[in-house]
Amino acid sequence: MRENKFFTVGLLILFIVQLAIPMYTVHRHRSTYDNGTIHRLKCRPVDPEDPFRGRYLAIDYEANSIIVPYNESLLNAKKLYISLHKGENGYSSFRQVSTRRPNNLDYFVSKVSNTYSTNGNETLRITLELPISRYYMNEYLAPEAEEKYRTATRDGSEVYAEVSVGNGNIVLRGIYIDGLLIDDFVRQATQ
Amino acid sequence: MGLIDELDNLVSAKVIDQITADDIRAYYQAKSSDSTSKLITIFGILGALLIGSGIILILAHNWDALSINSKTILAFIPLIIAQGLGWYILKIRKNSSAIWREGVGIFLTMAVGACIALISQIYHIQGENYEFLRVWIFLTIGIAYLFDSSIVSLLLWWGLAVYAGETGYGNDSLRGEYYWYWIMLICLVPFYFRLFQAKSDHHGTLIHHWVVPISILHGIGALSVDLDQWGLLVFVFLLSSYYIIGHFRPFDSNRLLRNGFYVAGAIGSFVCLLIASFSSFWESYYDNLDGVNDQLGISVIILLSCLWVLMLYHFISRRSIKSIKPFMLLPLFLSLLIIFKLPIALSTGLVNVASLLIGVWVTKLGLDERHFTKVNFGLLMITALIVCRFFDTNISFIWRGLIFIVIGMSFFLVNYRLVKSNNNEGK
Repeated sequence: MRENKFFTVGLLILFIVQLAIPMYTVHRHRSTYDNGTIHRLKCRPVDPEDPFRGRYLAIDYEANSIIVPYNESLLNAKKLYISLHKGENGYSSFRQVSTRRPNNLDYFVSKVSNTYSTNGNETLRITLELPISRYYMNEYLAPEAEEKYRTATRDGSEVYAEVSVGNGNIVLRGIYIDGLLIDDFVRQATQ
Repeated sequence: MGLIDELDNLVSAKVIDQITADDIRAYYQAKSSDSTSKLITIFGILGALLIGSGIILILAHNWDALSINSKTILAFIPLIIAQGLGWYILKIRKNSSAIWREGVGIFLTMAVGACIALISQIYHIQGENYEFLRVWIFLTIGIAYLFDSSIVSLLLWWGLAVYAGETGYGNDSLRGEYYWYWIMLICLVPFYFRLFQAKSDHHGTLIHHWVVPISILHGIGALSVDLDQWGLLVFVFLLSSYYIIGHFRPFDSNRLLRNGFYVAGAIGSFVCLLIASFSSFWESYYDNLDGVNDQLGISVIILLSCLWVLMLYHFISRRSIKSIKPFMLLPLFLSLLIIFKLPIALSTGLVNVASLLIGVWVTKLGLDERHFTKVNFGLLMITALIVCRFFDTNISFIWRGLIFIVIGMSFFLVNYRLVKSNNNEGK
């Protein structure tokens, strides 16, 4: 089989695909990171451990549970298109939820965690499983970061995630406490 | 004194001529330099591994200080090195040994996983473990085929089992994701067939004979929560099929330890019988049967029953109907009990009688074949059945004690008789 030219072609295709898939992932994220619209989302954390990809800070967002007018198509949807809207206070919220791609560019796709009707079937409460719920950081800093984060969210500090949104993609740029990136915040606090 | 030192004496005594002596000397010199070069290679590899590990640790220590671009480049370096090595081994050196192909194949498999994991971490990409596994498996299935690597194949079978565990076992929301398990399995099975056609006695192939049936059992087990009352019948059809496969070539010529299909089929079938020997099983079975409209369970049973019929037909055509063993007919037996909806006491009683008879049959088979493992397995089956009956019948402690003593003595007597008859045969 090794002398066969199909073997060479097969080997090349395998190597190209193995490189192409992570490269495409990088390109998609870099493109959104560099060219997407920046939004700020208020958040709250937990700290589990992912055995495959190291230590990360799990993030929950104030805006991840939304109430919309009752719509049969939204009730059983597994994925939704979410459009963002920047508020006057500098933070963004999820303005529109749809099962179809919206016309504007400031949207992303999110999985749905839970949906149920409220207010006598007039509205729907949708809880989203946002694709920006993990912030990977140094495993030794992560527990400290979680602690600082919990304290900051309780004592009224400004805690938010900065994200880039564009072409259906959303990328987490960083988690900030009082304007300081959480990695730097924790390093300063531990020095 | 060594042979080399004696060569001159042998030439002087005209036992061998000078040409032969020179050939012998050259042969042993080549052998020692070959083993020397192997040793150098091994130490070289160890050294390279230590240097590589050291570099990785230093980079890990300074990881936070690196820019995203630097981290991205570093994430791809192991993959590029592994691919370069793979190209060298397969296309430039061409006739590389199996050790090199296996080693580089494993390195490439790990490098692909490391690259995906690092990219996810660098860019905070969310994804579940099963998604990561799926991408990793699809990107590395080709490595098993192109590198002809049985170890990579075993790693992939393990990965498949983990994927089934992540997406099955009651995860309703991931039912769609679970079915990718079967697509990946179909992609991997041809390599297993290629292995036991081309390398039937190879250690890697023999390990596959265990890993493959257990992985598939686990994969179907991942559906068990959704199969409800059909679950036991599904397992019985599958395990009976395994048992029959274990009687085909090349499995039937292997020792039991090398025949994973046979052993998994026998033990698994008996465990299913044991479960069905409890009256509570039949009570809950009939309670859930009415009004059942479980398309999934029925579909799986139809598929597996076709497999079972095919295997049985193949077995009978190669041997004869008289060669059929009890475990091969277990699915038919249980199916008839279910179809005819016999009273619970009758179904339970029949299963217990069948279990006892099979236990006795296996013990007798072991005695006839002078096979210790089969004898003890048969006795273990009888013991397990009796122990289970202790839990759902009111037998006094004295009787339980006496029964255990009798069983224990039976173990000793049967094994003693077997050892004695083996010794007599030896004389």
